[in-house]
Amino acid sequence: MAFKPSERRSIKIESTELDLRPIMNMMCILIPLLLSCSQFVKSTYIELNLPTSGGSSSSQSPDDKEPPKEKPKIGLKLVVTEKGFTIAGNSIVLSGAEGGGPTLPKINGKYDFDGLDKKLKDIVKTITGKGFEDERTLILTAEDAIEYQSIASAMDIITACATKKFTDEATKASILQPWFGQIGFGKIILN
Amino acid sequence: MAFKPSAVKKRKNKEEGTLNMNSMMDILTIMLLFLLMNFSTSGALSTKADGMTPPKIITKNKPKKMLVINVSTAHIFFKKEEIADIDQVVAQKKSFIIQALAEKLEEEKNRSEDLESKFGIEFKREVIVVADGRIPFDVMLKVVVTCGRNGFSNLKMLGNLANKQDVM
Repeated sequence: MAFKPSERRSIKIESTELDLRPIMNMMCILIPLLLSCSQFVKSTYIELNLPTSGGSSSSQSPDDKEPPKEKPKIGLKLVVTEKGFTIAGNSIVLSGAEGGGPTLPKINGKYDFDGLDKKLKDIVKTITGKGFEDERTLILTAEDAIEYQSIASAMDIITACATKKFTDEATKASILQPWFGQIGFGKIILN
Repeated sequence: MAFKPSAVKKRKNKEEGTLNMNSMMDILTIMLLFLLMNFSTSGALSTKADGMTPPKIITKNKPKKMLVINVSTAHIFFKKEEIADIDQVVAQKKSFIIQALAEKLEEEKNRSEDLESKFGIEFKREVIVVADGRIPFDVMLKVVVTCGRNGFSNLKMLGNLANKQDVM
């Protein structure tokens, strides 16, 4: 008996397309939602810790007879002028390469931020371990008309130039913090 | 005389066209990935005054929501409310304290100290200063001194994150 011819020949293969409509609907909802929550310009900040008004922070009790041993102070200052950066301490003003004027004069009309970075690194190396009470303090001052952008960039350099390692008492983990943890704002007063 | 209906047109097969969504899906997938990368759950930190360009900053810090002082080239704003003109602040030579700002900060300090004593919400003395990069140092110094004198000693100077090459 002959076999009946296979029906496979007559089977029609229908092409089925993936229905993308639900995915498209989801996309139409997701994209406006993400657009509204996106941040294209990232914000950041520089921290400025001001001394709190409320007297000295001495922990000495009134019964202590011996006066506290005073540590020497360096009084580091960075002055931003139209001519460039001047770095000074309590008893010294760092002069420029040519002997006078600002420590780091402007180069082609622009502030020498790289030079400032190097100079601050050298200063940190020099003062480390000398026992200055205010070794982590830097007073930033400028002429009245200097734009805030230049001040902010100088603050950036001061924050990033050097770090100091601290140990967290609770977790015993070491934390790196900017060397100049106390940046203050000051004013040039000419007599 | 009526024309004979066209035999060619009658025999023409009308094929059903389907919209090809593949390329559109590709675009949307790329867009979705890009937007997911820039997604922020914290929302807007502060409302920028018109035409204000905050300074470019390299240091990376993630700001949080807190009290905001806006300093544009024309006005000083406290919680979106205009409180002082920059011209007046520049003209003020005898004192470093901006009176209108000092009053607002004093009110805020009292409110925060009240909350701290009643409900134990810590008064962190923090304030965000969003200032235009073009304002003179003199104005900035007065804003900083006013904040410090009124109990807000922890200042966050807000700016836009930038590369070192863009700034220096």
